[in-house]
Amino acid sequence: MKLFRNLSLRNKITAIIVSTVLLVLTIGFSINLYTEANSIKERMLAEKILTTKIVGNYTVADLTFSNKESALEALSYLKRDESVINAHLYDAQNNHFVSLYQNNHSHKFELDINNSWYEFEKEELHVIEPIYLDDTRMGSLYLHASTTDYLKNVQNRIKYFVGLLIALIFVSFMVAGKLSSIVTSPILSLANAARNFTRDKKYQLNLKAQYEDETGRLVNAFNDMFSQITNREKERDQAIKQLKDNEENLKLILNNMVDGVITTDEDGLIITINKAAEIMFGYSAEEITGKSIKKLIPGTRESGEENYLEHYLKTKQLRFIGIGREIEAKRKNQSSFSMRLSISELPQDAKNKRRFIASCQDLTQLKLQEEQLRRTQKMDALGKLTGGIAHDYNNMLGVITGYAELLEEELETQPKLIQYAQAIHQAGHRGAKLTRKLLSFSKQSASESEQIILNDLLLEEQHMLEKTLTVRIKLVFDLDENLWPVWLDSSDMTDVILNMCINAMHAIEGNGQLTITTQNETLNTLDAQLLNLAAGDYIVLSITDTGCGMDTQTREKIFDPFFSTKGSEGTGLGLSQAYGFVKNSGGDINVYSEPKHGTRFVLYFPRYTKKESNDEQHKKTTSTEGLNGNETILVVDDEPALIELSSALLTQQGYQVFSAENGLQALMVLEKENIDLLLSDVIMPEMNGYELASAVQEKYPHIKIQLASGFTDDRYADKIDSALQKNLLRKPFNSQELFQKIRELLG
Amino acid sequence: MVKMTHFINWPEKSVEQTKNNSNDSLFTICIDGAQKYFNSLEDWATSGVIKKKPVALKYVTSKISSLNNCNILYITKNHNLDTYLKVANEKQFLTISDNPGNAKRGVIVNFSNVREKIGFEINLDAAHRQGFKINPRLLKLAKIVSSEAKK
Repeated sequence: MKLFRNLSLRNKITAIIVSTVLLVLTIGFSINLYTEANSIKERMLAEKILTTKIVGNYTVADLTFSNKESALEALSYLKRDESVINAHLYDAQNNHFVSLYQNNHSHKFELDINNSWYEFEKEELHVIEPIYLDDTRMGSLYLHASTTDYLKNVQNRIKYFVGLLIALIFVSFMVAGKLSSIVTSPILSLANAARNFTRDKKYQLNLKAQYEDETGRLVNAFNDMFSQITNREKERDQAIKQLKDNEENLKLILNNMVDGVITTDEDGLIITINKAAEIMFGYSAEEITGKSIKKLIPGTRESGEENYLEHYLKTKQLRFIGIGREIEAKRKNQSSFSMRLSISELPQDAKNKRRFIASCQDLTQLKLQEEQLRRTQKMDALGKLTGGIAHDYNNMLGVITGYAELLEEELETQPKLIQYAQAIHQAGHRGAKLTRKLLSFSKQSASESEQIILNDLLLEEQHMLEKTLTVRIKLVFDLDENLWPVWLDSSDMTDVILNMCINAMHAIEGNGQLTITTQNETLNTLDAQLLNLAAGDYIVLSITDTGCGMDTQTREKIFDPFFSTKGSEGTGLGLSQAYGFVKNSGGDINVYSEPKHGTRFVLYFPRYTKKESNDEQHKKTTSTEGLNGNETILVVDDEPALIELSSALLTQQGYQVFSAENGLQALMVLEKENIDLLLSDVIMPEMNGYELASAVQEKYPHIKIQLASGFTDDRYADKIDSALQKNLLRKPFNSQELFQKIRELLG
Repeated sequence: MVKMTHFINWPEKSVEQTKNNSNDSLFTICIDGAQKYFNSLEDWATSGVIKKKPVALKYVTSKISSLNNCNILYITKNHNLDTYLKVANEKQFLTISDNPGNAKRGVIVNFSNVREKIGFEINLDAAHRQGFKINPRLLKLAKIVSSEAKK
């Protein structure tokens, strides 16, 4: 049965058909054989009975007249029947009359010989027929015959049927084989299609049904199934893709977060770690996954960080983990850094285990920025202080040098006194230079900015710098050929470079090298934040020496005014002036130094892109001739001593001078007098110089205006004529500068 | 003789004739001979039946009238043979005798002794002429003779 079950469908159908045919034919043939055997038997019996009757009848006269010879002759006809074994004729008294094959006569009858009788015994047949003459029984004939022929006949029949059966089974086998292919071929083609579908991914849809039977229905069902599977596969692929996209998106979000994100189980073992955390701690995700978070946050017993998780697990109080706390964390290279750690609990995982998510914020940059801010604030405070003092000093120095000049002119006849006046004048002049440096640091000095390419300036000053550095120090330029332009005061820039080169020279003992590099750099937000700058394009100037370098303490103070490492040799203003200049230019200065290795100053200047019209750029007048005039000039200053000085100088040159101590007074004067030129201070109480200038420009457009100031104040830059700002007379000014400016204006 | 009647069929005409007679319900055996030889037959004839009819024995003379109603005429003597044969042709009764050569003369059945066994001759021509039908099984045992031509 198992063998049958494992047969192919085709063979099964063939086997079923053949076995059915075999069964039916066997039953049919058996019935037929049985019937026929019976029939043969009956025929044989009937035949023998008939023969017995005929022969018996034939002997009736012999029996009647006791003629044995004739009777024997009659019996001898039976010889023609080979199946007859012997025959015995009995008379009416049942006495033996004659026998055929008498030698074989051995039968003793216990049966009634008077009646018809027959019996099959083994392979023999016994027949007794009485012989009548009219109604009188004249005797009986006993016939003993063999049934071998009959049996042979039956055997032949059986052989015939078996032969026929085999032939029919063979035929049915052949036909069944052919017919079963009608059933199996659609199933096999379905199986092929299914195999193609599953194994080879050949989505052969719309199989054709060969017949409109069950296999046809099966094919249609397969078509439906294939299309359903294909649709489901499509849906599944889309869902998987969407899931992958979502996962990728979440991963992207997590990996693009600035803060590090770490998930752990309840034992503090790391489950996942994002990119920021990988960078922050220096471990790759593979390295740290499954390790204890204590590897990243070693903690100390004093701070109680070690058991913060255990505390939470015990107490369930969020205060132990929920709010962020600043802690010391450790990188892979064992260096420590400050970090803000915030932990919250995630929903439990599939195994009902607790999970935590930690957000880590690296505070290194924040700390640096705070330090930067602190320094900037310090410098701002220093700047305001020095600026205020320098401003007042400037005014006083203006008075001192002004009057010293007047004294020189008045004391032409007393050469000795002239010398005193000149000494006063020179001291005042030196004082003015000093205050200018202070103002430069405090970003309050007026500047004469222009568009320049740093490379041009450096190459221009190369010779001078080489001379300053002397032969023991090699000057190396590494300049970017396509350097962007900057907007700054070139003379101040030269001063800054010179100052820094001199500092480098002092730092280098014996032979050394000074490298000046320029390059373009685009700062992103983060870099710019670190440098305390706005993001954008910058020109970077690096000045690197191979000197003795600085320690941290020194580095902290080098930009402070009056801080010097050169003792009495230095003024302590060189680097503070550089600091003020760079800041004033919208850039920043950084210093990197290692003791015994050298120092590098890196200066950032914003790229200049505005197209400034150059037509207003004034021509520098170098001629000192023709500086007299007779025009009317109104001098406005909140410092009476300066009004006096200016008035004295201008009167001396032939000008008619009016004065006012503030803007309102000046306007009143203008209403009364016909004024050609207004000379005004910028920083004044109530109404400043710019406000006054704009009022005058509006009301008296013909009046020329000259502003003077110790500050550069951009607050009104867009409200006033840029020409006025550019033409600013920088305080403290000397008479030559004043006369030149006035003459340029009046023509 | 009685056994012989089983194998012989009498012609229809003869039966009708007997029907017209008063004794038609009897099977009459006529005997031309001495009664003393036929005691056993007489004994049998008292209860004997031939052709489903009771048997009557009748001893006849040469008178023709005495031959009426005879179904069988047993002839023991030959002196009236010709007469009997002639009447037999008309009356259609079966002629039986036991003298050698009688069959040839026209007697239908003539008994004889053959090797100490009773044998018989049958004149088939005479039988056919008179309309008797003789069973072939009987013929098988008999000696068939034909009538001799009359001198």
